[in-house]
Amino acid sequence: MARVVYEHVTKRYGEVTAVNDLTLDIEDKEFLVLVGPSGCGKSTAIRLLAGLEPLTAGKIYIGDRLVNDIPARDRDVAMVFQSYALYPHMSVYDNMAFGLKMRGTPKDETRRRVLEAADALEIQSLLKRKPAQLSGGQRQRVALGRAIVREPLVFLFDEPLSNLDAKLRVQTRAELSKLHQRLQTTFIYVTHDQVEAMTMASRIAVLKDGLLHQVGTPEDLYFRPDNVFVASFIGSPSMNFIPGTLKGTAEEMTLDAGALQITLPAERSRQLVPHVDAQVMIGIRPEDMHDPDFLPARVRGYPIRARVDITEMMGNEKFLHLIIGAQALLARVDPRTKARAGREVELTVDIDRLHVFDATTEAALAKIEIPE
Amino acid sequence: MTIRWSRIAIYAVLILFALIYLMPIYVLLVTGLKSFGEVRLDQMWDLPSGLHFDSFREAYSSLDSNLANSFKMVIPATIFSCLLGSINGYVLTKWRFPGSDVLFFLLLYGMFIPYQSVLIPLVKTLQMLHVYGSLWGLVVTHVVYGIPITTLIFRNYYANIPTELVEAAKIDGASIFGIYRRIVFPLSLPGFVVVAIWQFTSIWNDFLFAVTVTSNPAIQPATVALNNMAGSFIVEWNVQMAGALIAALPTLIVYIILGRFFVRGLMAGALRG
Amino acid sequence: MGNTGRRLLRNVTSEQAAAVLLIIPSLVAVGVFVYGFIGWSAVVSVSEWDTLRPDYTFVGLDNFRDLFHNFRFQIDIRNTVVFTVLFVGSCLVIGFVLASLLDRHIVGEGLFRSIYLFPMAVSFIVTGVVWRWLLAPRAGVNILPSKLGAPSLGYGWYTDPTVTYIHADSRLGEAFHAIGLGFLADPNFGLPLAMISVVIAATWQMSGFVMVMYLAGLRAIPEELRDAARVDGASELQILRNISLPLLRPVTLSAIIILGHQSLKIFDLVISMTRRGPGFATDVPALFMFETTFQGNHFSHGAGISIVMLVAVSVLVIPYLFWSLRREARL
Repeated sequence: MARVVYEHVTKRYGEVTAVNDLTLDIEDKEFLVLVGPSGCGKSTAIRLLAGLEPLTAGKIYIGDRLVNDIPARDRDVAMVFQSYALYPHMSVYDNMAFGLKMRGTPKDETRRRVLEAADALEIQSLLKRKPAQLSGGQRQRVALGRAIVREPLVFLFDEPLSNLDAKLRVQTRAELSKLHQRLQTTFIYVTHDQVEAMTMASRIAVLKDGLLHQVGTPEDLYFRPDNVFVASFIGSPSMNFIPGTLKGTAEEMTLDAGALQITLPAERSRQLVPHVDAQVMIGIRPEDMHDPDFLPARVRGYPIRARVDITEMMGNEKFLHLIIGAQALLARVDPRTKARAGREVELTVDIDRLHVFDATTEAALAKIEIPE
Repeated sequence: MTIRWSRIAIYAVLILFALIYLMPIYVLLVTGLKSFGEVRLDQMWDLPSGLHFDSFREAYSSLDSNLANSFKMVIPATIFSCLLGSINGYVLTKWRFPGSDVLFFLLLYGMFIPYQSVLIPLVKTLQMLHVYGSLWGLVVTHVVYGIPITTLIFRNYYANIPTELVEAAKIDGASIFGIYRRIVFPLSLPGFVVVAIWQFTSIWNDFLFAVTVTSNPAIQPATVALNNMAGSFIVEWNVQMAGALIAALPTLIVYIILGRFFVRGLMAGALRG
Repeated sequence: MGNTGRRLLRNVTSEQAAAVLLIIPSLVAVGVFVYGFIGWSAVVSVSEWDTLRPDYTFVGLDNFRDLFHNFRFQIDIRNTVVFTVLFVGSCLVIGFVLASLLDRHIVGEGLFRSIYLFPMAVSFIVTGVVWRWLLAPRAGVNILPSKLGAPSLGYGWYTDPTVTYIHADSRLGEAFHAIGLGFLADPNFGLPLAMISVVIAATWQMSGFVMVMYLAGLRAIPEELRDAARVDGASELQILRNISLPLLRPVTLSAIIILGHQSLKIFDLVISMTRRGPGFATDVPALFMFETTFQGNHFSHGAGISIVMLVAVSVLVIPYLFWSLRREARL
């Protein structure tokens, strides 16, 4: 049970900088998810925390302890690896008992803890088996069990769900969340899957190319992304981006994207006035574009016209692949929509959910409010 | 700080062992390069005063025909045993028939037997074939007893060639030998290199067959000649050392230049599967 | 079936026939030169062939009885056991130590590997010649300390006829007697010190091979397993003992088999380095067989020795071949 602090942590491998000046404060008992595309440095970040790699620069604290020079085995963290890393020549029981054995924990104490964890994870019947005789899901539980018996200060997870099939993944996500509630310990979780991040995290840290782009609650990241990358990474299918120019006055600003023209309401116009005439990227999430026949009550809409390229029936919604001018967009609308491929359609854009980013810096210019 | 010390200790141990391993080569070289006057047992470790090739000259003059014999024997033996191993490996991996695994097991066993258990019949048989005492007798011997190891190495190598290649060729109408000629053989170069190096080394270094099959000192390969030289009381010890170095030179050179492939042969032979 | 079917059937059979045909020369060769000859040697071993003229009169197991009562052969057995245990043991230990040291991101790893492995490239004869001089009583290793300022060693190495053994009246001897193993306190179960020299030379030659095998084995262990152990709280030494070593059991087994079968038939090294040694201290069955057969012309006895060697090797190798081929089939 401890907080974890990364203070200007950098890790370089020769020419390559894997983690670039990372400063991150993780609260005690938080479920923090580090998310980002491959190579963004997330795995490196937790390996640095675990003590499996030395830092190039910076400091890492676990609790109040500076751990830079402390070897992995004395840091009191537990880690669940992507491939589970179960010791193939040992039984499940011995796998789980290994860490305790290495620390000289008395046999009866070890036994108690292993049986307790095995119970909680429902793997008591597997204790005598070897990893090769287990299914993927079972192995994952053993890996979890091995971490739990250690009763560490922090739990680290390195993409633990990526080797499971889709159905098992959904199930395990829920179980991990429940486990976190039960154990009341800091969880630091690494994944490339933003769905896992959004569903499980208390806070999410988004990384790319070794840099921290934004850290915040799922709501923060979804509704108020700091930049284009975070906006495009969070949310699936991802946000539509249209380049354009900001025109107009404080009373009425227009986003001019050629074939697409959107006039903004007063509050937003005032926010954006300092950036008039700037080149911008307009961001619209597919779920924020609606078929006007099925408009939800609270939405303040702005009409746009587009040509439908193809439609994909998803069951609970329809995806419309649209073309406006030279721009391709994706909209998620009510499945009852009358929009058809090859025909023009009129859609309503949720004007309160438009995102505006500077085209050069990609930073968000004026963010929207998180709904109650 | 503790970490640095253990690294130093590691390097110290590695270097110490390296020196021990190189010790014999050092002595070989240093002794061979000394002039006759400098060669004294109690000065074994001293460096030579200059480069003197007298010992080498004398050793070489006794060994030169034997070295030629070794080459004359090793080269054909290597070539034939490589070819046989290749074809066997090919058949056993790409054309399995009922019993091919049993046959492979029986072939492999031949690699482990003590050759003492076949020496007497071998001699009799070679005599019957009128090749006893000749280098061709040795070639035949090495080709036959090389079959197990060459087959093993090629089998492991061919197991990594996708069967789909062979199947595609079958569908295209090629015959078993046609597939070998057109597809498998051209892909076999790395395998041949490994087997050739391994066989060259083993056959060149062999003593037991050499001393059994050939009795005439003029025909005997270098290993036998060296042993005779070393066992003699009249040959100076420095000439023996020079002779040892000369006899070891071909395989050492192969090892230095092509060591990578040597290791691969070793691994393929040692770790099955 | 129809015409096409029959043609297909013929094709299939003719292919398999062709396969067998391609491999027949090798099968015949091995069949004759290995199995046929072994049979022939076995026949000779139960015959009375003692002179240059072949004599296949059957004498049952007399030759074997003579052998096992033969003083020299008994010593050979003892020497072989001693050599095998020491040789295999030291190769495994040295090979493993070197491999685990080299597995740590060593600068110049390739160079070290090449140095440890090069002895394998030379003949046992060369090794024997060199080490004979290196371990000669008045040269080589004995005088090396004097070069470094210390007094020379005076050890006899392979000329030392001492056989150390557990004396019956020593404490160890009495302990053995108490548990019924008193017969082991006898020179026949002792350690001929001269053999140590041969072990040194042989280990020099073959430990590089064991090192390469262990290195490959260590590299095959996923680093993630070791990371998991580190996070779990194990020190590097504990990881070696609890994770690496158990996972290397197949390598250890392979090494034991390969070194073991070589040590049972060791010949080249002994003949060039020490021959039979003082009081047969370094005599080995292969040497005995060679002298008996080709110098004494006692073909039947020589064949007998070779059959004993064959049986010993087979006991080691056949189970291993079974295990290894079955493991491969399962994969």
